[in-house]
Amino acid sequence: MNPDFSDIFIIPVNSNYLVYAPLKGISALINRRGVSELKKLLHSASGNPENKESKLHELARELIHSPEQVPARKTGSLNPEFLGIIPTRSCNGACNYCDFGADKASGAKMSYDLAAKAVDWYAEIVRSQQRNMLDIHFFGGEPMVARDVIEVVVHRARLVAMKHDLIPYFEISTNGQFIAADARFLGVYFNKVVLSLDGFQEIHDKHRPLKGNRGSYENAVETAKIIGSSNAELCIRCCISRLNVLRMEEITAWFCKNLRLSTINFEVLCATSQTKAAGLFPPDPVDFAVHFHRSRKIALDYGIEVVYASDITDRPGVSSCPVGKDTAIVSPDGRISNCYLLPERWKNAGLDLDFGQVGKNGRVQLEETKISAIRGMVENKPRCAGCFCQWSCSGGCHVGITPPGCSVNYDDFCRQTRLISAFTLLVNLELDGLPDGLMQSPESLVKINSQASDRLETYPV
Amino acid sequence: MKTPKKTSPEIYAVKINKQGTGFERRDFLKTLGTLTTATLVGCNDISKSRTSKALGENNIAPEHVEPCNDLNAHAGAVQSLCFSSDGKILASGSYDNSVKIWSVPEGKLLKKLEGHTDTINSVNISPDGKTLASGSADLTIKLWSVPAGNLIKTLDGNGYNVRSVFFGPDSKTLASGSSDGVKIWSVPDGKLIKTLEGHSNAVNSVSFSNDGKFLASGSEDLSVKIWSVPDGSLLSTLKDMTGSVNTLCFSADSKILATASNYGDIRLWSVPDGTLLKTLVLNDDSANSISFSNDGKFLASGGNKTIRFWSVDDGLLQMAIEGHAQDVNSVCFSPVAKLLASGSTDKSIKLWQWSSDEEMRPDVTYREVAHEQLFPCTESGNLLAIRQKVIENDKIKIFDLGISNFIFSVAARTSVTAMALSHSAKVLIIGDFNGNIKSWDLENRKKKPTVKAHSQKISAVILKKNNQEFITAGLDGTIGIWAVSDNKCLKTLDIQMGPIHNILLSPDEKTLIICSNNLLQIWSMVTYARVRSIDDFKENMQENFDAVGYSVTEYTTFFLLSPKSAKVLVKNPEGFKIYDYERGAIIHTVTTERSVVSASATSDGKYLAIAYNYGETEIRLMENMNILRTFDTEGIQRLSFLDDNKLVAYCSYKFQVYTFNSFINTATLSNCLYDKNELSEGTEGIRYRVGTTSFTLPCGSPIPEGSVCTCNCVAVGPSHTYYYYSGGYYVSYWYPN
Repeated sequence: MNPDFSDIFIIPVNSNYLVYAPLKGISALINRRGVSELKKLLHSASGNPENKESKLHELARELIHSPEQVPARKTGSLNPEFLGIIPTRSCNGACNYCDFGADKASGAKMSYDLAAKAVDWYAEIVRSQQRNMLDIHFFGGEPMVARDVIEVVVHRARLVAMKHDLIPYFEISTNGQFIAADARFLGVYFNKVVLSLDGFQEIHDKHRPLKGNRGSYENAVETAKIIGSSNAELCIRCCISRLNVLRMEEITAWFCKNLRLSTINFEVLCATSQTKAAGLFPPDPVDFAVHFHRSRKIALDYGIEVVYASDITDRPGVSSCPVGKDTAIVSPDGRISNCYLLPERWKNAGLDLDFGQVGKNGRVQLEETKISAIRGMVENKPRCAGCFCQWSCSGGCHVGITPPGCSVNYDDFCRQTRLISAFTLLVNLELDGLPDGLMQSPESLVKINSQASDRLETYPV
Repeated sequence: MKTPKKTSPEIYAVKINKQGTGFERRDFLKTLGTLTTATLVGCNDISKSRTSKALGENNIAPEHVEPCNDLNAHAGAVQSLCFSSDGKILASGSYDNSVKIWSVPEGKLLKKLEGHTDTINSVNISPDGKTLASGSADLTIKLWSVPAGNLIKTLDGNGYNVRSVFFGPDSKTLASGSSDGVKIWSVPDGKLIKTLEGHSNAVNSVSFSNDGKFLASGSEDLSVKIWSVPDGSLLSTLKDMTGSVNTLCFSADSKILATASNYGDIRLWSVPDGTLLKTLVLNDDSANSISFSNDGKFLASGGNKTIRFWSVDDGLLQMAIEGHAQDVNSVCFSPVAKLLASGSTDKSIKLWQWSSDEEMRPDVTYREVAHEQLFPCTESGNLLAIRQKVIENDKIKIFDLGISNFIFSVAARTSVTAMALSHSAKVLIIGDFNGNIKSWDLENRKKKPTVKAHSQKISAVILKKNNQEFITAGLDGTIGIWAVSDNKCLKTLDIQMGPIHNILLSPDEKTLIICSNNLLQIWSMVTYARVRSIDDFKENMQENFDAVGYSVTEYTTFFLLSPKSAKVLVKNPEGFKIYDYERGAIIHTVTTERSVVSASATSDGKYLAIAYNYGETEIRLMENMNILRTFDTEGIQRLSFLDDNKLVAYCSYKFQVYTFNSFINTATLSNCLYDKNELSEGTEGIRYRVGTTSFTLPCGSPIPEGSVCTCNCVAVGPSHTYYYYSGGYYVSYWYPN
């Protein structure tokens, strides 16, 4: 086969096959005979199928001639998609699945000077790249614990944006554990609020208690309602464990009916010693994928999107996480890195994702070699080599996917991602009932997840 | 789905995405008008921020940010204001017994004049700018030097509360009004020259005309008298006032006298004969103070929290601003700049930049990033529905302009080409590139069945008023009529005029106007038959239209104006024509080199907005095509008048909303004058308010060097660290300078 066709993938869908060329934006559902014929056409010596009018020939011509849009590695000067600000690592919550140790983090806050200088620096980059948006995201801990730092950043960014005719854009990931006035502040000044709400009260409070094992559900819902009625878009981030996976549809329906939101983002709980001690476990990946798909259908009826962060089938990329996108995330101590996880996490995985520092004198120092290394790192994903999701999921969290600290075998994350992506591709083909039919065939689901490689060129049909 | 086993190769479905370039999943952003930077000290630059909201004739309450109203100029109600003739000094008199002199350019207090022992009712600065007179309830008139503020003289001899003082044009005479009547004083020696007898009750207001020939007095005896200067003879008496005459003033050319009474309207009279020229109707408000602009074109009046601007020519209300928290007791136009000062019972003094021919500024700008176009879009009442393109899966965003809020979004998951939205956002119907209809019951957030409505792209969707039926048009040349409840087809019309690019339903919903590339047809929705075709008027039209395909760019030939106006704008290479399809006649022909991109008429059909390529938009009178004004709308793709005559301009990556009053004039808050000693106790750090929510930033916050901001107001922390902040949109703050 012409080596240009190495990025055509195939996965079984019941007794048929989904052929998928992510870099050409082509997907098709074909029967076994069709796949066999297609391979022959693609193998043909001229690489140019006869000018016949059958659908198969048309498909083959599209696969041959459509230009590939290969996402390129970032090059040149640092060009972050957004500026991440971690105003503090501390948190007013004590979530049982927290990956950040936030409830035990020191109360250190970013200084106002540093915050303002980070904004100025980022604005200079935006202007030098001739972009027009000042896109700033806040992470934590719980960023609203340091609301004053957020206000400094917001107002500084608005000032700078006004001076240079840029458009300020603010997004925050928050637990919603604050007073109504704080929620209204977000509603006025922010464009998007990603609020963690894990479903019904008994589940949410089990997942995300406050310190002292107090419940956080009511405050989160109240905040969601205030944000929902404001100018900001409300996105609910819902963590799924074994406790709530079977109720995803019910949870989705409740969200859609009771909150004014635009998106529901389902995530899966990551197993740690802390989660085990709390009696929380990740869901079965097939369960999660199936219930995700059903939840998505329910939400679409309400005009609300249900998303899974690694299901980006409409736009190929080298990374679906901040790493590799030049993202500049500034920590309270002024370090600039590509990741908002604790440095210990990536260091334990053998990675170094720091690449700069905002100095006390206001000067920002960047290490170009590190930037270059990180950019190259995102292409090194041996686990993804044969996977049809390699340009959509792109490996998910790079801390978990990049050698040396990762396994080359598919894990539960991969399995659920593959299934969800498959469902999405089938939905996009607009064949009613197809995804549901696939879900009703456990053998088909197992087949999808057990394929060593999805590449058409090596697929035994 | 069951796929039968076949031995032949089968492709059941194919999808080919044309990958977008550079589109990101970004959201609408709202920027609050256009802001300019200003230097810190004095806050003397004009803020264009939308801190005031015009009240239209419907008196819609302001929905936007209010400037913080707890910055006090006085410790009591501000009762009277007066500019010096060079406009640089503003004097204020208050119920706190003090007079204050302010620097207008610097926006700061120059001097507090103390000495009166009771409330100040009136202040006036002599035309030569050297003397300030204050009339008080302590029965005295005091003369002060300007700008030093030294007391020159106290004029005793009033037996009653002095309600009004006014210098003569020579600066050497001063008129006063009180229960004693009208007195004329000599300024140099402080002696009483004359008392003008005639009023039978207290005189509330006196004023000299600029030409020095006339003196007017308004009284609680329900009359106004015009006196000759210098002899003091009575020239005319204006009677039949509805109540005590509160205030009066002459126009700059001395030809018109404006008066305002309790429980009544503002009247304009010819001087000196006293002929009633116009009555300015106040409805439920009153005018405590009135002032002519220097050019004589406008009159400002202060009433219950509200400042109104009137056109003198036609007596019509131009705009109203709810700019104070309590009664506006005094308004005063600057003699030199387009500035108006207002003083209120809320203890504040505000300066307003009055613009009659200034740059058009939208009330609000919504900016969407990384979008090439915001089309299609649709409006319904105060609601806008706009497509956000995300590769092939569009999202529809719905905005409520009534509350200036994005309300919610709907994931369409298709490429949307046409939309209709019901007034109450209960029903959303979209048509897509493939000819499908998708619709939602938004109230119950329920999606209806998707229907293949046309064999090609759907170009237009119209929802009927009963929300029970909707009409679609497609490039396949057919019109469909559908039931909202279940998207079932009720009727199909094969128009046979080629691809249909746009449709318009008449207000009575009995007529459908259909546009294609170069044809216009009128169809009856009663008989479902064609009534008229543009071919019938071929001789009146230029035939070399260059319409190619359907687009909101310059290639569209026909622009359907508002349904009530029964008119279509037809573009041609020389300009455009306005065609009345009910009469079947061309009513206007306009020659212009510019190409029309979009056009829309107000619901009453009186005004027409036309957007041209290169981003210029005009407002014209439909009656005679006279241009009222032009303004820039960079990247304009479509504009549309809403039912309440707001104009929405959809540009490349934003849409802007203009209120119609703002086409004529604007008044924006320029500054609040404050006296730091009058600030409320307990002021800590920076306080600002957005809507009804207050925010506070702590004192002592470090300030980035070199910060500049747009600012209207000032607050002072407990450690006397000065913080400057804007009218409530954002804050910058720095150490004292």
